[in-house]
Amino acid sequence: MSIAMEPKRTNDAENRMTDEVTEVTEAVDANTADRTGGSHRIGGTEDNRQYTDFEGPAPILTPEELAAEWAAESPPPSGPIANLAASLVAVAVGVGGMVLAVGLGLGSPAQPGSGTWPFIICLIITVLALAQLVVGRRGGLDGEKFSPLSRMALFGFLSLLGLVWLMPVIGFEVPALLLCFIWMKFLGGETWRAATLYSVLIVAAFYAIFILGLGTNIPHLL
Amino acid sequence: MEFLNPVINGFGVVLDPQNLLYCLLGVVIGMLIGVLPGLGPAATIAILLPLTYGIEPVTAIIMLAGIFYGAQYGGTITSVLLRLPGEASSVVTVFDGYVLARQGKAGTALGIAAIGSFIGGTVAIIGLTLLAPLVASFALDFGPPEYTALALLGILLVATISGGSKIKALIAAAVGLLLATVGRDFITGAERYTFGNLNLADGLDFVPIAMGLFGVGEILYNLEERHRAASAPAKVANVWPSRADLRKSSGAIGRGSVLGFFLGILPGGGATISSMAAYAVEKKRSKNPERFGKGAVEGVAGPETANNAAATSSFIPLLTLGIPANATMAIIFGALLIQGVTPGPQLVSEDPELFWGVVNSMYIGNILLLIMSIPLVGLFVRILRVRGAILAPITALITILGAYTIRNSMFDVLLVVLFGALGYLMKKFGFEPGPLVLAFVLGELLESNLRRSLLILDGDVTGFATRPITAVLLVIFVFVALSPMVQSALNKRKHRATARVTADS
Repeated sequence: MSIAMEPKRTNDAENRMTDEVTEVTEAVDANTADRTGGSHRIGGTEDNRQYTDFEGPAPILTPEELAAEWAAESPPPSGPIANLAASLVAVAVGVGGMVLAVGLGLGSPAQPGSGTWPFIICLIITVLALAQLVVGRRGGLDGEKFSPLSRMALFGFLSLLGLVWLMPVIGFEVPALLLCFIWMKFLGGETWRAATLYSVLIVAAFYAIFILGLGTNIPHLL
Repeated sequence: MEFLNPVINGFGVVLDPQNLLYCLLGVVIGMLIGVLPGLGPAATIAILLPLTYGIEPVTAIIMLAGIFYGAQYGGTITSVLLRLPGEASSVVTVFDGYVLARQGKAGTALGIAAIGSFIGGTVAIIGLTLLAPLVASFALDFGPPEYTALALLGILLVATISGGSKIKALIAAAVGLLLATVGRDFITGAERYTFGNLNLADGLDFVPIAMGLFGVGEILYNLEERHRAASAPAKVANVWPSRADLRKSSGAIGRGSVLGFFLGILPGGGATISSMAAYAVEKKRSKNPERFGKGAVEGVAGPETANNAAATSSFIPLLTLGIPANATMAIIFGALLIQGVTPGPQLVSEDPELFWGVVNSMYIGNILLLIMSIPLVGLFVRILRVRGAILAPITALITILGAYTIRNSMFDVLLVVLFGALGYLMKKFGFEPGPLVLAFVLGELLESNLRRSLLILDGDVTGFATRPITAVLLVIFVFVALSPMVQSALNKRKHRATARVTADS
């Protein structure tokens, strides 16, 4: 069943995303204009748009309807293959841990060794993982299926790794600027202008707080 | 009245201007970050843990408690205004709160929630003040076997009460225990699971794990779920609820306070269960239950009071037994350990200033919350309008740079990112990060007590059963462990029986 549902979910998600991107781009101009003007007032046009949004389409739902809507909106559970994979990973962790624990020395109940406690835990992990392998073989209600949007999380993770790798080499400013820009422009669908402007502002603010204000030792260029 | 002396001295600690300032700072920052969609109290506290480094222990904990309250209320704001529960404990607030907001009474809903939270919190603190020393004095006689049984029971309860697959939650807890063994063995000095990495020799630190699993994990997850764009109402007027609304909700607030207090003490219970129970109670007691879900003020007042009362009373097991009742308390436990404070029965007697300072700071935190929340609602509504795409890199940078400042270590930052990926994958595959963090925090306590007990008992495992408290705890443990299996077996049999009956007829 979950396989049959997947294409629908994908379309929905992508539609929603494109909708949002257009909506966001529309709103950006008003907002950037505001920021550059140095005013603290939030853009008037945006206010109106969101106010009508709020008053308009969302119908009043009973708790039951709302719960049903949430259930329909939430992605389908991860399914049997994910369960198999997760259980096997857990079995591997358990067995690997037990092998290493034996190497540490198991001791005896009266004289527990370094490996006793880890061995017990790994044994528990293995047994539970095998149980999960069987119990969840048809896939449970837990977890979430990966969607095309899961790429975003992967890119996010990779860009964070990039930040960690570059920070000690060239300081935090440039990598942080790149991270902000990539997340806003490519993961968040902001416009070039908004993404550039906000990235610079954010990095400047962090520089002011962490380097100038708090005087921390975060690696920095300037 | 001798008993009251340390309590009153505790107020002296809290009223110190510096502590007051940090309490205020905590409440405001907690509310700010708690308002951001997707980041609940656990994630908020985890991300902000580095802020507490280099401050006095009392001040640090006062600030964390402030963040905790603030984040709790931040979740309410998003529930009412956006129909997005910031955390599980304000899900039921959405039902009536959002409808009220749609009817132009967002201010009433938020005001009632703030007043209810204040009263619920205050009642729970009074309960805590009276109950905590009693529990602590009872627990003073606990030896290693008792602690072993108690820690085991705590982990099991948190794992089985959490939603989703119980087995997966238990696996997560066991992995947490395993992660706690990494590093040098404290008795023999042997290096365990370090793979020759010098950075791992002292073991994994709690902070990067919590920041990664809760903070970065949530941030990565939200990158994928960005479609829940915020559209907040332009104005929230009349935050102070009318006399009629107050009268209507006074009963709900009273019941919510008591219910929340008791449910909060139970491990694994806490804010979520008590808010749901309070909603159910209010609906059941109401003369016209059909109003619920259509903008009943009691439907906001009851759950919001109860979840704050529960959030407060869940400090009792932490401060008196040293056993955190839920994931958020596990993070506060970790923060206390970092400050060199080991929560436990001896805390009240050995460090009364800290204990009562923290407890009394909750009064102040609640008052500050009430004062801040009502006039500042407008500000929070504005924050809600900042788009997720812009907030995501900000929260990510706060987490990363914050993690670096703890020990000036890039290895810590790498751990945060890696545990972030783990947290994201756990969420995708249906494993709860809560039990993992809780078990990790209790792991060392559990192992050391188990090994000490075995030494005391001369390796005789049956010795556990001869100690009355341990035996009772272990019986409860077995009962809790087996009850889901028994229940599902019973359900299956019932199911088969009904199936047979329908087939026969």
